[in-house]
Amino acid sequence: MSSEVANVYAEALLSLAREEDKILAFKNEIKAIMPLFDSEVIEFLATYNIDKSLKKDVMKMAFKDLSVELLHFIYLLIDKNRIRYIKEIFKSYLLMANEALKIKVVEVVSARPLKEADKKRLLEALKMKFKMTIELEEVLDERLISGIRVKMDDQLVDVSMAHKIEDLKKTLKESW
Amino acid sequence: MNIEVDVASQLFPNPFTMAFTLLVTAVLFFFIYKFVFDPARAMIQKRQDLMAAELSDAAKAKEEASIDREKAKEEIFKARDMASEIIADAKLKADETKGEILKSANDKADDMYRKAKDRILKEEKEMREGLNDEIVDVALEASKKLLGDKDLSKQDEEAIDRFIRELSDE
Repeated sequence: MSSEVANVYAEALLSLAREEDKILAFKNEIKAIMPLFDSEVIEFLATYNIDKSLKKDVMKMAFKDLSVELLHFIYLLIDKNRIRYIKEIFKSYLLMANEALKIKVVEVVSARPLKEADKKRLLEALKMKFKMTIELEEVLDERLISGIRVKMDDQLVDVSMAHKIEDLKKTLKESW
Repeated sequence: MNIEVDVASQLFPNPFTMAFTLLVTAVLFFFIYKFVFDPARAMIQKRQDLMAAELSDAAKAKEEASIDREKAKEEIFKARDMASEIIADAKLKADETKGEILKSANDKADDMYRKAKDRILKEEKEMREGLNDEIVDVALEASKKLLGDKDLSKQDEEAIDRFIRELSDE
């Protein structure tokens, strides 16, 4: 149910972005503001007892530099009591926008921040492979020890030390 | 005094008187026959018939009683046979049930023994494997710790190279 609602609103937002030629701009703005919508903020915005105009004022003050269209979109979600689904809506929009812009998002998990040179090499290799604009999404996870774990669509490539050790552990346990 | 009696005439019955006497006797006999003999005879006949009927009934009842006694005897024999059969069946069934119960108890005991044996073997295996796993885990955790303390930027680069190679090979 929530994913259906999210898709409907995300499609509406994408349609607006297309009209305004702001698909990428909206995408960047959404990526910037999405982490701010934590459970407490959403709870505040979804509470029925709080006046809607007050919620809108808070949004206006919090997102001063946000485009008018996006701000009005948030107002719409408040008015329609759909603000609870804002994260799902934004996620759906990001997926749709990436598809529209022919951007492939690749998640790279590493134990420490990647060097610029390594990032560049990765980007070039991925661009060459997929013939699309590649967007690297970096995630830090010290448990990897070294190496990287790359997630592309449904594919997962793990060339980390943690993975090697797990493989080794499995082999040792099986052969013992 | 001379009494002159016509003795001769006295010696011969007066035909009229005789006829009258005979008539009266006949009438008397008729009435006696009609009103005494007939009813008495009828009563005797009736009594005879009754006695004959009673005798016949008694004979019939005796015969029936005899038949019933035979039937009863047969029934008793049948009942005795049936009782013997029932007892024999019951004994057979009891023996079968006893056999089944004993077999089931033996099977259960065997099953319990086998399961207990399997469990002991499984636990032994698990314990051995657990011990092996413990050794492997400790050894590899120690290696992780050692690796974690090192500068692994070189390994990162090598991993990226490997990833790029795998990507281009696909």
